Amino acid sequence: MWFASPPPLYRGLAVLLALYGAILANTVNLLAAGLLVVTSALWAQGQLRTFAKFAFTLILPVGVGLVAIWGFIRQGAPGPAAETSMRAGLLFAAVTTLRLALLGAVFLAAVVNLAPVRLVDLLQTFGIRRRTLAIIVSTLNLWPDFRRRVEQVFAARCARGLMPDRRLGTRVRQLPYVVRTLFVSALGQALERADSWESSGLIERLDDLRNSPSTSDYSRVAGFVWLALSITWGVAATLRLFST
Amino acid sequence: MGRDYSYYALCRLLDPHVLSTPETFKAYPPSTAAAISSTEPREKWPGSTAGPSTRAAFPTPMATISARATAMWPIKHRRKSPQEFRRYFPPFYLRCRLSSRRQKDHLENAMNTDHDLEAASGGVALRKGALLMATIPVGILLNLGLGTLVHLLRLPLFVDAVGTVVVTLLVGIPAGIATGVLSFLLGGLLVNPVMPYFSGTQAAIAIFVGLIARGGGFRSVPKTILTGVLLGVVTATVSAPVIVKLFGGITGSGSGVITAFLLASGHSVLKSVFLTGVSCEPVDKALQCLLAFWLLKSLPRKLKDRFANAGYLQRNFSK
Repeated sequence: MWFASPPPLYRGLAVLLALYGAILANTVNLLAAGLLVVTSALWAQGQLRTFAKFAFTLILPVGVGLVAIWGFIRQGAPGPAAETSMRAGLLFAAVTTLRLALLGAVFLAAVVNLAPVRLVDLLQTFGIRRRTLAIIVSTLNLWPDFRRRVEQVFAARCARGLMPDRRLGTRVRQLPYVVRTLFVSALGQALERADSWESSGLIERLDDLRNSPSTSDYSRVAGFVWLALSITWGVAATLRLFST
Repeated sequence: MGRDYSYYALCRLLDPHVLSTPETFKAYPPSTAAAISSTEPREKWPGSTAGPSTRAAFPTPMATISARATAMWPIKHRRKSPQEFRRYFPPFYLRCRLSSRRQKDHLENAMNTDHDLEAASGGVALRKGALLMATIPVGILLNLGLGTLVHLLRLPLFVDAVGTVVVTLLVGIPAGIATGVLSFLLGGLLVNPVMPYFSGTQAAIAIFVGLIARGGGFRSVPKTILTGVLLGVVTATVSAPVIVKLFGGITGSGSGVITAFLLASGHSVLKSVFLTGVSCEPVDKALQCLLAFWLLKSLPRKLKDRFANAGYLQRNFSK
């Protein structure tokens, strides 16, 4: 979809402006409006389910805690000059919760749904090259490899009779053995791989990846829309901050 | 059989009908024989019209340090003990392949002038780079894996800096900072979108651990626990402003209950968050430091040798 593919530079600038605006914004209306726009973008990208999961598992507990503490226990917002009433406390809790949700949503909309090649392109646009790029790419690739290896360690321990079953409690008890085995084996393999990358000149050739995604894959219109929205948002948040 | 026999044997595989006996090899035209026995690249063979190779130069077997070391090692040192041998040729360099002509020249100069191998190999950058590329991803995965597990269990602990501590001890402070910051940025991608805002705390952890490890703060279990407790105070101090500004004092972890109690008893939000941090973080960080200590202590000797001069391993884990 065209809206989800702005060029890397536009994407990066839009994210920075959106984060700047989210940190400055201090009213429920402004934050709710921002969240509505970003949620629409997430819906357009098919990421609404991921955002819902994030909101329910992380934002909701924080929100409930903030409402309980600032709305009912302290009955006021923090700060020496702050108003002390239940309304002020609830308002503070709402602003903080919305801001957190917005910061997470911006990150989800702009970075999380990127395909690996586009992520590499985005990182290269912002000057991340060679070894740093190799580290990030290899970390993203190591994650599934690690999960597979955990299963292998469990299977090996089961086969030796060191692990009676595969229930959650048993798995948690086996964690120390798994962590040590994984660490030593992953470190050994990573060293060998890094040696071979260095000796074959792969790191120098990693920069050639820069031209791999075609520029026609990106939509300049989407870039302008993203940038326009984030500039509007940043300006509104700044003006609102100074007017209060 | 003579020096040419190996070249004859090789050529016979290619041309078995013509090269039936070793004597026939001498009948080869001089330019062809020179080309076969040359270790130079193809474009430098006598009479070659081939232009410079556009492919990446892969080292030939003779370009490996082990081969050169065997050839150039002074005979007077060959009867030394294994320890003496290791001093001259650390394991990493015996296994390391030269990646460029420049490094090969550096090594030859070093061997000829009998300098220390490590200092003159020009491979310090190569070695450090390879170590960084190997250890940082493993550290990131340790951070993310353990941190996510503890976060899902809603324990009043974090256990999200074990990788940072391990990498700092293995490779040094800059690598530790890179591990911590990258793991929290990637944690934003993979685990929790608000993790990146705590990247500064990870940088502080790497710097503190590095400075303490310089003085041998991980030499024994009691010292490691003390380091962990001090680290807890540092992280509580660094992360308190972020928690107050971004989260309003409540992070949604198990320690939120303590913050709520302190706020209810009339303390300011910054003080409550700081006191919560000081009460929870030392336990958490001592546990993390002990875990890192245990992991590095159980590292096989072969792996430990590869980090001999990179970080703080020798100062803390050598007997």
